[in-house]
Amino acid sequence: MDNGFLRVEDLCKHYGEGEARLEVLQSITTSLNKGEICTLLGPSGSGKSTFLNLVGGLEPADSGRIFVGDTELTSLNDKDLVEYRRRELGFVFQFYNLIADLTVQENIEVCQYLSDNPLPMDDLLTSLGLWDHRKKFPHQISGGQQQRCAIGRALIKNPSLLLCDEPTGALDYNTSKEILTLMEQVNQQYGCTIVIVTHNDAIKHMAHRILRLRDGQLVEDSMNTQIARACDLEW
Amino acid sequence: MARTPFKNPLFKRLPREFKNNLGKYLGMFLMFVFATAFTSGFLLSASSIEKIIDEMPGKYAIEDGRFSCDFEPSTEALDAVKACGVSLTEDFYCELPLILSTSSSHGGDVVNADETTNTQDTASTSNTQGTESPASEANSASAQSTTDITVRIYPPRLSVNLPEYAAGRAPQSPSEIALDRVFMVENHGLDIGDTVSINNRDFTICGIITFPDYQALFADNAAFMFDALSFCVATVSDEGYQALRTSHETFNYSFTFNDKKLSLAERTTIEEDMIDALSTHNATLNTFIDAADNQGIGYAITDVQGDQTMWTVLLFVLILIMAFVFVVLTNATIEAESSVIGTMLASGWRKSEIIVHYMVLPLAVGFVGVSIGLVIGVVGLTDTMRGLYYHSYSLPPYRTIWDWKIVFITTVVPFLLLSAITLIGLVRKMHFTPLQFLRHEASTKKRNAAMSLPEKLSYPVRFRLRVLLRNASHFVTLFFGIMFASLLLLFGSCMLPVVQNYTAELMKTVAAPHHYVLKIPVELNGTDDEREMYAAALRVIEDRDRYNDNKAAIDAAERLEDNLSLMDALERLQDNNELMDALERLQNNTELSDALERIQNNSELTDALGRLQQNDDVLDAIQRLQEDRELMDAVERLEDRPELLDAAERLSAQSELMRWVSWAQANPLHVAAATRVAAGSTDPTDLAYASALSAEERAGLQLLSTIDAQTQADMELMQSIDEQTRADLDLMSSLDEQTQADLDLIQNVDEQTRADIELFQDVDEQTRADLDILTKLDEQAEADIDLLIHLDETTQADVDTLRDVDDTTQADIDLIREMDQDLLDDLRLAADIDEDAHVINSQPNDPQAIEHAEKYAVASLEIERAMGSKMESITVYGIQPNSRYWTDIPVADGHVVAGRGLVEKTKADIGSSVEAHNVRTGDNYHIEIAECASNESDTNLYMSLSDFNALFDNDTDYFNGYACESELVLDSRYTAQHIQPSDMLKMSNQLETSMGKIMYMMMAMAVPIYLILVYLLTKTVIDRSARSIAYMKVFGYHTKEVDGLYIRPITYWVLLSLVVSLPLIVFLLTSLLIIVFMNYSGNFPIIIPPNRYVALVVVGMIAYAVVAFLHVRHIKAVPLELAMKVQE
Repeated sequence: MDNGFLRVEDLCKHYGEGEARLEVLQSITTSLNKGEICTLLGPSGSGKSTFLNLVGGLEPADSGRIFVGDTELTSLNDKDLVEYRRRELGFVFQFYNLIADLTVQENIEVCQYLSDNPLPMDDLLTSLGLWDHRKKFPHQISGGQQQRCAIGRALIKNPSLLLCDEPTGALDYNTSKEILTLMEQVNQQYGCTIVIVTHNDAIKHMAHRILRLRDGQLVEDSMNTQIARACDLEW
Repeated sequence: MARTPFKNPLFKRLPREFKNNLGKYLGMFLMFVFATAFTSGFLLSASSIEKIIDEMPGKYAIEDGRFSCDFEPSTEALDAVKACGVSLTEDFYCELPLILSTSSSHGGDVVNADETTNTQDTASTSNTQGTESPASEANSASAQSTTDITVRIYPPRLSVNLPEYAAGRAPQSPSEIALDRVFMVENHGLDIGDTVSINNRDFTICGIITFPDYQALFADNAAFMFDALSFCVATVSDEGYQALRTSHETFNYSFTFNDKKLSLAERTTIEEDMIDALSTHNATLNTFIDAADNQGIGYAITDVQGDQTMWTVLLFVLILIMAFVFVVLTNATIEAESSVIGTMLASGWRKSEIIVHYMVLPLAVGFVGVSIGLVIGVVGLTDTMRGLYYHSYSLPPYRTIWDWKIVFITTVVPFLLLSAITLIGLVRKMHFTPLQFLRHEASTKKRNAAMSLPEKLSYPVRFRLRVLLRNASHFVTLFFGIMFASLLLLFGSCMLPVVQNYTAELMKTVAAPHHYVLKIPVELNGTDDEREMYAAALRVIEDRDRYNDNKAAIDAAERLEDNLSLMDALERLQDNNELMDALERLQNNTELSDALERIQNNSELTDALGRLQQNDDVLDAIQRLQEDRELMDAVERLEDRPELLDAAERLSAQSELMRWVSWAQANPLHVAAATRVAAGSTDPTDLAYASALSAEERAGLQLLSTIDAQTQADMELMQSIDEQTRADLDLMSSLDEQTQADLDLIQNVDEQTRADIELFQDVDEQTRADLDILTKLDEQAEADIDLLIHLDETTQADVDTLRDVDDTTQADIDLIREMDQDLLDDLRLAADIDEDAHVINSQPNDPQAIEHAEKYAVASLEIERAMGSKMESITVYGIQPNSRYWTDIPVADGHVVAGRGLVEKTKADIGSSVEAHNVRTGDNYHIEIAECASNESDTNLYMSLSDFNALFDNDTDYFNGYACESELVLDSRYTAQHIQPSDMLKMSNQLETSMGKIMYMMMAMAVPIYLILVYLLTKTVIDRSARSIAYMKVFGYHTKEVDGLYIRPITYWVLLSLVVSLPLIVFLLTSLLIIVFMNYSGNFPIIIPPNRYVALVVVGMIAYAVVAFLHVRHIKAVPLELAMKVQE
């Protein structure tokens, strides 16, 4: 565990003060190995997104430490955090957040631009099943295709860590499975570590690691020995 | 691994962003184009004009100053002025009414250097006759006032204030004239070849000029506004000017300092010395203006410079507002794209990269806008903007002078300002964390919208309030945008009303229907004789030609005025032309005159001469004989021995005998021998001699023997005379017949005559010499002498008096004698004028008009203004305490009353003293203001006439003005000004003509600014609310109801902004106008007519109606599907 790619040590975070003070994360300690898919489960308000934001360097922790590779996030200033995100991180959000007046390919290029060593665009578009839609604008494609585009945008940098916040939350069943399958492929193809925040308990079966939060506490941190294929998931 | 160069993919957004928000960017673009084009066009033309004006002093030898006097100053006064260190140039002019020919209404712009010639020798002109031009409109507009035009006419100006010929050439014949360009072309549509009439003489326009000292046509330097409608300047040939010279001639002098490097203080000192010098030499100074204070020279450049500042400020304010609009719109975009930005930040995009991205399009639009605006302004608007000035100011031909500063001010600075404000706005907006962006916490609208609203409010009201609160920053910016546009609109529409109000109020301060300002006190009451006396005096000085022709004589008469006896003599003698002519001729012959004088003193001799002169033969004889001095001496010597003359005469009568006597005297031996032979001698010697005689000799001897006793006695007598006597007798005997006759005549005169002749013969040498002169006179001289000799006693005394005068007096008398008879009569009449008394008006007036005419006194002083460094020129009135005209000005009991305008402008305290300065004399006065009265345009000081005279150390009965009910007929010689209330209107007419275009342009600018601002800022509100609008539609709201929810709050806000900003606008406008008008003489009450407020709101709402119409269409086009689209 000490040699994990993503290591979190005694991580704490709260919002508000006084009576409104809410301990969102309480002494979370865990570690993920490189190339693992991890699902972070828990009900609303359990601290899943906060955990993801802290790992993504989007907000600072109250205490504790986060290591991604050799980088200790909690010691980085804002500028270094930007560089960290630029170099190591890919984000996928529930609502895609695509730029409306850029085509699919251009949306992906937004992050290709940031990388010194991006993945080949054509291969990625093909892998994502977006080759035929590459010149379409977001409003011209389906939600699933938009999410693929968002994933492509995150992957094009060839990040070592892909953080996905409810990537299927806005998608229907089939599309969700397609997206999960895609993530599985990406993990296998590019070897990136993937953290998927989800309400959907079924997704845990495709993960190598399962983390579960409840009221800010890590209540489950387990290895999945019987990993299912994403396409076989049922819920 | 090296990073692959990769083009920023966000760049691809830009054209799409532009296309998708075309209205927004087009609005911004147009605003920049609009603002930059107008400003750069204006500033380039204005700076070019400024440079052209800067070149003028050297190019056209502009004076350093000028002064004019009521009456022509003496040479001594002018020399004293020159001694102060200035060079003077006579720059006289006369002002006369000008009548335009009815056919004079051509169009055409003759100003452009490309179209015109600027040399005096070029006769051609760019006549664009037939093309309709603004000038034609101006002509028709001003047609009604062409009967009230004054032209100031100069003879050719050759050394200072040289004219520039915009077209045509200098007048060469007496019937040609060159008129000012602005008056002629811009305001009255005249062209070369047209005719105008001055003093009943027709002049053909041969040139279009600009005088460097009349860049702005100020008839009166103290006036608030120039007057190119009813006043102009012109030049005519010398002959033409001589024909026009009248009593209206102004004795104006231009001066230039000998030392060109004087400081302002040194100049002022010299000018004070000049004023003193004029005052010391009794020159009545009328005006004294340093070039720096001459509005004709300085007004245009001050206006141009002021306008440049104003336009630059306007541009910057506009750019500032636009920058804030940019910030607001960009903020709206950022808020709309908050999640995308959050995602990008989360993905590793730097804030700086995102800021740059969001800056690119606005700045690109701004850059292209200002660049295109610059090109349009420079290429397309410079000439139009030039017209704004050339329509008002008479300046040399225009040429654009490039100035990079204009590019910097209109393009670089606004762009940098825009960039800086946009950057600051973006940096401020981008301070949120990625997570805040992802959570849409970068928006203020949520915070504002989260404000609780009173439950009592109805749902629609609360909804609308939410719309306002959500878009608070937009509406705040909109408020200021509307305020700015309204300020522009109101400024443009209020300048004229302010001036119109000022003139209307000023008209009220003109207390009587007619005011006459006099150069000296002139009494209206007088007898007919007195009027005739003063009329004569005026005729003497007003008929310039006659005056000039007789100027030396008039001066002589003035010098002789005190020599009463001489003048009386002259007067009596002058009627006797014959005598005077004789006297004159004699006086020219000094020698004769002296001789005559001396002889005239010898009455006996004079009488003798008189008698002799009646006997012409005798006088002729005397005259002839007197030429032979030897003969006369001989006659004189022989006079006492008449027996000799008788003997000589008798002997000369026996010439044969005398021949033989002579022969016998020559041959005594022969005669003796023959005598002895005849007596019987036979001496052989005798016989030999006798026989040698010829028969003729023998006969001669025979004749000699017959000589009688008388002859013998005569011969003996003759032999006894001395040699002198003999010589005399020889002379007498050798006389020619005439001489002999003369002598005979004289010898045969009667006793009296003889006595007379003897008297003449006995005179001393001097007298003889005199007589010689007198006897040698020609006929004319003789006649003269006759005349003078027979004078009666009085006449003789007069002649004596005149003869006794010294040379100077004699020269004066000669001059007077050559004087025009009418003039002389006038001079005689005028000589009775009492110089210590006031002048009496020579013109008869209606008794009632005289009765209603009220005397007052007026003077100009300067008082320090409350703001600015310039002094306020004020008028001090000395009025009657119980004036029938100044009824509301209580000046009794030593009260000094200040007009409210004066109190306002100088912030003078009632009850305290103000210090006033007389720029013409250098005197300072401390005047205590007891009250203020009249209106806010009134900057006069009032006091009783007696207090006035005491203050200015005048005679107690001094006055220099009449206020009256009806028009008076006054001697123009003494009248400086005739003021009627309607004269005040000229100011506003001129302002409307010259500044109207700028005002209308300003108003025209305000409307599009207003439209674009309102459109841009409210469109964003609609855009931001698009999803909500879609929801409303989904919920079942009718479009009209949706409009009510979204358009109505915007409408209310626009209306509210229009109304609520008014007090602020009024405050700003008032402050602005106070600053604008502070530099002018006079106090301008800042008024904004109520209808302008209404017009402002109506124009604003009409403009908004256009915007609202677009928004209604926009709302109608919001798709229902938008409500269904996924959004976090």
